[in-house]
Amino acid sequence: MDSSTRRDAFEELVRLYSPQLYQQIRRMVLDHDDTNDVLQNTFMKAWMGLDNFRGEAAVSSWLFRIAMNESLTFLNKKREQTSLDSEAAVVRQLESDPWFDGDQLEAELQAAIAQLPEKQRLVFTLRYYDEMKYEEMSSLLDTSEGALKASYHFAVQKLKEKLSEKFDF
Amino acid sequence: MKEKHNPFIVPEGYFDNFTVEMMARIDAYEESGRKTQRAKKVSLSDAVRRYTRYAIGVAASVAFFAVITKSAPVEKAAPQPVDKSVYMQASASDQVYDYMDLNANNVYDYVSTID
Repeated sequence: MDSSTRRDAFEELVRLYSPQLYQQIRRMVLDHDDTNDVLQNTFMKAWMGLDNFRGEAAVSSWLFRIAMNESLTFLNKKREQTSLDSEAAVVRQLESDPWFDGDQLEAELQAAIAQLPEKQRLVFTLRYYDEMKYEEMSSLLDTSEGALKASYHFAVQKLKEKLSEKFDF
Repeated sequence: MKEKHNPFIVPEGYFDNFTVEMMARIDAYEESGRKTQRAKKVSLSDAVRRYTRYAIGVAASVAFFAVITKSAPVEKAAPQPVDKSVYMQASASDQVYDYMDLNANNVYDYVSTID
């Protein structure tokens, strides 16, 4: 494939998958500007790794894995740099974010999700927001369906406990 | 079933701009990669030129040394002094005469008696 065709094909990939990847990244990193950075890094990594992609998995799955790795790398780096990881700090950040359209309950929910262990958080957001089937999630995350269901169950329990402390359900 | 509310707003036109910016970033990355490759090639030819100059210098030094050592006169050992006083005056005919004279005087007989 010549470089021009390769470039055009990749541009189409970016156009096609950026909205979906954006949402998945945004639910992990929360902030729009951070999401933009991670999304760019994701496509940059994809471009550099294009020759290594053998088509064993779907392009969407391949891009998703890169996006999640980049998101987790970003969160770990941010955790090292700042101490503003507490739930209250996350709520304040979201409430002051012009690109966040949610009430206090929504902000508290997002802050509580942000406190979940990374994999649990990932499983919860994929299941709850994307309504992804466990079978699909299993091949994507290379984890058994049983483990994923358990992970989702524990995530829901934790979130219910946290939110019921603050709100009357 | 109530649709889940997505609280994360995307700025208008973000995805159109994103594609353009992303491809510009990739183009810049590729261009910097090509510049690095060109710089490597230039450095390589510079290195080749440098080593060629060194090699020529070494070869010239070796050749110069070889020329110097070949043209220098080799000092021979001083010849042993030869007493030529006896031979210098005698010609070939004289030498033959001496030999005949010695035979005539039976020098060899005389020599055998001395012992």
